[in-house]
Amino acid sequence: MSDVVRSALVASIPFAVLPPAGAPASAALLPEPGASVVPGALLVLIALATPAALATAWTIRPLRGTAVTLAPFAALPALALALWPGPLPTVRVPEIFLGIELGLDAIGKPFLLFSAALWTAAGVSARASMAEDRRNAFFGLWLLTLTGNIGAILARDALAFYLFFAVLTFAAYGLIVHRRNPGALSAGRVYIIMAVLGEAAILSGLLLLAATAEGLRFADIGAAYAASPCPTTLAGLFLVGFGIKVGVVPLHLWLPLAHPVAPTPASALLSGALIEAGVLAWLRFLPIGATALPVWGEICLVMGFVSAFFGVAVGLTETDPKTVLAYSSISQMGFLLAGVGIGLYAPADPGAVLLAVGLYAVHHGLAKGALFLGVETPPAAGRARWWHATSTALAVIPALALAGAPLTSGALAKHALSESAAGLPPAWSAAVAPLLSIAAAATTLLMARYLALLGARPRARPTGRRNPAGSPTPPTSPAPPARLWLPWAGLVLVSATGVLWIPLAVPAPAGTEVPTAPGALASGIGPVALGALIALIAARYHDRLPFLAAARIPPGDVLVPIRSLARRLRGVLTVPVWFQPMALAQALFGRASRHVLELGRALGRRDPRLTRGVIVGTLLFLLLVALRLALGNG
Amino acid sequence: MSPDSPWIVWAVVAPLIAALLAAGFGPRATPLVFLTGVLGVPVSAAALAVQVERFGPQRHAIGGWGEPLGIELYADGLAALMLLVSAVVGAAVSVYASGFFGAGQAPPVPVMATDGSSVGYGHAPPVAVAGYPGGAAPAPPRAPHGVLAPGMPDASGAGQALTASPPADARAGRFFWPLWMLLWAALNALFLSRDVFNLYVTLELMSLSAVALVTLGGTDAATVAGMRYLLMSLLGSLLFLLGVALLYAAYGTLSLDGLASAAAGALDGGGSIPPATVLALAVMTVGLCIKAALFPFHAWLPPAHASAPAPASALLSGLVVKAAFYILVRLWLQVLPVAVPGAALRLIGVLGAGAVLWGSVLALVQHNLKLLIAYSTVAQLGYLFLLFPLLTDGGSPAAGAWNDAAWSGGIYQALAHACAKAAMFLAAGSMIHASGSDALVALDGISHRLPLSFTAFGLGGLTMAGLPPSGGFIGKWLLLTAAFETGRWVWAGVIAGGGLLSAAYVYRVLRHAFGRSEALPPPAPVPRRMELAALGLALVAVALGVAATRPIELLEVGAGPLAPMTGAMSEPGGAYADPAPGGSQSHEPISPDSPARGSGLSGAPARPPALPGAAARCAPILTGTLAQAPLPSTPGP
Amino acid sequence: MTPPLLYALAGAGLFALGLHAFLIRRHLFWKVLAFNVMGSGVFLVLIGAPASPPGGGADPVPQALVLTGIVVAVSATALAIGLALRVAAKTGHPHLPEDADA
Repeated sequence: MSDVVRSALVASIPFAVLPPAGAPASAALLPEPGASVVPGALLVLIALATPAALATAWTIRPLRGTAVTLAPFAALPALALALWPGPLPTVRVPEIFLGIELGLDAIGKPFLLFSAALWTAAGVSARASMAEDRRNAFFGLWLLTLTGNIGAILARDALAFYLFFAVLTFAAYGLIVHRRNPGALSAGRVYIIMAVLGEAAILSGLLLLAATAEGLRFADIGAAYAASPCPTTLAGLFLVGFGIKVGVVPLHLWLPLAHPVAPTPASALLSGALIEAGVLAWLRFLPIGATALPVWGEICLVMGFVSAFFGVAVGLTETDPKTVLAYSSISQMGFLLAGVGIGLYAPADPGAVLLAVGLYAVHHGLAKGALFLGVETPPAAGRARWWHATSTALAVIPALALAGAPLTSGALAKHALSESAAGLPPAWSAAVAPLLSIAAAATTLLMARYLALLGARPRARPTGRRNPAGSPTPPTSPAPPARLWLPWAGLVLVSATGVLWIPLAVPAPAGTEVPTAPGALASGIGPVALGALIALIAARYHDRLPFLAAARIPPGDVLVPIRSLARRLRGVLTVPVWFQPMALAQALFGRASRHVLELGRALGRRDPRLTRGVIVGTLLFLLLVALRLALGNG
Repeated sequence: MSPDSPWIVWAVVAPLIAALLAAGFGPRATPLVFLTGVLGVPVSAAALAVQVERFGPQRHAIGGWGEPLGIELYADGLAALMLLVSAVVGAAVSVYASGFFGAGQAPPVPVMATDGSSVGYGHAPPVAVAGYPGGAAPAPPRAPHGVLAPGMPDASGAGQALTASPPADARAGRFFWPLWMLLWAALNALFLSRDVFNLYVTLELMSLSAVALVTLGGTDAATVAGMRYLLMSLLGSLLFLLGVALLYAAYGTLSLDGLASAAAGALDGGGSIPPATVLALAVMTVGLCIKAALFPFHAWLPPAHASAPAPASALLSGLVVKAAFYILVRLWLQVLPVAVPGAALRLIGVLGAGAVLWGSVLALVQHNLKLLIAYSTVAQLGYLFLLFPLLTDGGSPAAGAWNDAAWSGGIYQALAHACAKAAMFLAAGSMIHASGSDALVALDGISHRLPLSFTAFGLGGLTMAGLPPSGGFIGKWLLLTAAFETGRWVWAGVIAGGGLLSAAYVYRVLRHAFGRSEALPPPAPVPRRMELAALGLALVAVALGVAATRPIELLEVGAGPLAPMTGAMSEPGGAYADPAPGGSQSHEPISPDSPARGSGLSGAPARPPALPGAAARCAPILTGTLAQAPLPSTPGP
Repeated sequence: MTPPLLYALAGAGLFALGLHAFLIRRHLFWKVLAFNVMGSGVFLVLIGAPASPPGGGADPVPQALVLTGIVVAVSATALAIGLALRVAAKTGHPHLPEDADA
């Protein structure tokens, strides 16, 4: 592109193109000298503008049909951006919000990659499975959520990230309650309460940050922590605020309720893309590699592994495959929390942590998406033998990947994660690798549970669920229609071949490299074999172990006893309610709101009297005197 | 766009012509009214805003007659923005009103409060003289459709209250247009005035038209509320006029610039602030507080705004109350900042905080939709006044070191509230028309029946609660940033608490609207343009949050004290306990090295100021940070 | 005591009297009358403003202001009386409800 054209282009559009940010992590993205940055800049804008424009079009009735038709492909420009080989500049759009910067750096790139892929696959699947379901603005909210997701990944400053993240959070509520049945509404209520609490924590953190920071660019975050008088509080607010979206223990209460009740393509997104946006937020907002916060580092490591095992333990007792997957997400997010903990603990080598978390996010997003979409395409009775075999095989592959079997993306990610623990103090670095191995075995077990549930699903049910308005698919067809299974199969293939393309597509931060050695890829063989063995034994002898079958934990786990306790406590408030945070909050909130309402009624009776002449005169006189005293000051 | 085009005049003259047309030719002239007023004001306001943005503040002496007897119009960034919001809200309300007062529709005149429900506004019927409790009565059981409670004998006005018969409404429609156009002209002239007496005249013109608009509904409640509004308003105006007289006696000039330099000059000469100035400022402030319905002088507002016809309510809540706030900002911060120490700023802030909490709590217990929205106006107006205490570090605004975040945040809150509150009142008018009642319980299931109006209401509520991304979020964010920067947690707590309460009362409405009610009769048809006007305005309120940079940059044109104090007199008689750092060079852009620049976001370019000097004052919150922040790695431009 | 100061003090006294009646009297007509007394007080203060233009002679500005003020006050009074009549006709009382037993 000639310079003339380029300058004309830049002048005619309301944004400015900056050279790529020079933060150390994104050194890999520096342009070669002489390369034009304009196409990359345009691509950044188009990636965000496409879903935003479609969401706008959706609100206009004549264009709604077109918007819905194009909705699955709204993430394709973002996918192209993630794969773009050229230089990627930062783009300033001064007109949006208070002025934002958009761009793609090494941290954001893996997130954009798998998110865009997942959105596309889930979108095609949603178009197919929800063709007749025109209720409740599903695709409008879908596009809005997508806009928030892509915007959050591309944002280069904290306020823009927060705003896009808020769009994502509130639009996702609509996806969760889409079915409007009691379960969905109840899950939605838990979700929205926790989400608002999370927003409050994030907003407080942002304000604290803004009070001392020179600017809210992500590049300045490290300096802001160094300058802040309370870096621990700041980090805590962000850890908790975004942790609610990630769903790690003990902030996970909404997750196992909300993920299964949404329509399956939306579940895939919730578990695959949206909770990972919270992980990205951690990487952005926490001073990884800048300020050491060993207390939070240790808490993150402990809670990470607690989440990892807690998710498996509860998930094994579930009977709905989608709930099993939701608990698996809690467990997997535990690994990512542990990774963040490593980064907070030992900032000496942030590159390895960022690489490990990025790899893990790509791997988990794709595999979890494939697993969720697989719930929709079970090997139903009356179908062709080839379909039965193929679908079973396709369902097994992402499960193996999630467990970390050799030669899968999971092995790659887990290897990177255990490598990144090298900088920890000896006690921790010695513990991380064994813990990861045990967790891999546990994950294998959980995946076996998922596959078993998938195989044992009632045969007649599936079509009815995804086709509420129409008649079930005739059982005589050899396989479900291609538009139903194609996105799933595609995602499985992408996930399965991850080990081949991830090292090429994910940029390694300076000083690190993506592991490709066969040894690294085979590291997970022991734990997976162990887990599979236990699963086989349990399957073979489960009728002799009745306690296994009897163990059932309702989705939402601790929320359920908390709720019943709160119900009981409401009658007798003498019980030490102080030991139950949620019951306490409920009691306090209920009392506070009662008081506020009573106060309002009392004031409301007096309020009209404020216009009486005598009262107006008195107030007027008082204010005059007060002003006389305050003004001029002598 | 030439710098000399007199767009500033057209913003006032266009609605004035429209008012004459509407008054002279009645309903036949409505298309002409739309052509001159409804089209003319937005065009001239937009053109004026562009002029201010490009060429700096605009000044025009009407007919070539300047000070002291002529009338001068003046527009800086603040005036241009207020004018723009007035144009947008006014245009949307006009479109709405053309459906509301249109022929062939059963007109949705509000019928609330004749039963004195919930807070006991409205009058008691003649028979109840003995026990006339003046609002202290416990709420009687709500009559289902807001009609007179059973057993009340029909008084002369009850017929109108019941059904709002079409002839009465045709009359209301005939009077609406001239009154509204007159109000618009007065409002725009007020924003553009550069002289305290013209401010008084325009304020009075605006108030008289507004009172007449309130009584257009013709109900008893509206008449009583209008009378009360008129009395309070006259009291406020006279107090303001007394201040004008005192100022003229003290300084012999009426122009804002003249007053500012005279007051600053008197102080510069080593003297102290004359008592007449202090007295004048005090009575003017009280008068303006009454007009702005600032707590505790707010109680006239809810019944007036709630009993007016929906388009009038939108205008009153959206625009009219902002006028007094606007004058107060000009007076305190730009004309006589030398007489305003930090303690006075905090005093006004306390009243604002009181309004936020009092209004929000009262909004929470209302049973009528329009009363709820009106109390929400009381609360949201309180936010505007938080601008005053947060503007400085505890010192006088004359020192010039304004906190840009507080300045932009307070004004931005006013802009966002104008659009959002007008949208909410318009949407409420449609919903009340459809469901036939003003009671919250009657709204059950309205979200299914009027989705557009419901969406407009919800988006307006988003801004009220300050949730992102909306104009209200930007305003509250900036105010909160200002509070956090200086560690003033009490103000931050008020802002946050008010936001929570707002979310609660908006949620109360939404809960009813989401509810299910199959038993209700089908809704009365609502003209599409009414719904679209409300929705458009609500979208503008959200768009203010999405595209905030340009308005905020415009706001900085001409901001700052009109007559900056010089370094020689920064400590007049110990009045300024704590001159902010850098306060001695007050008219300079705030030093970019100043550490407290954290409100800034990354992202905005260091746009060259359109007008050197004027625009440079409030070194923009954004660009101030970034202009000097080293761009990460600049290998090559 | 100069004449202008006398004017100003008399004006302030009138304003205070009017304000008192405006706030204390319940009857709407009283309130309207009180408003006019307050207005006259302000006008007196204006007339007493001791400005003398550089060229000598009387200052025309206060006179212009007072004329305008009178016009505004007359219109406001008209509107107030009209409204008061309507309030009385509709409610049967010549005062606002909250002042009923005050």
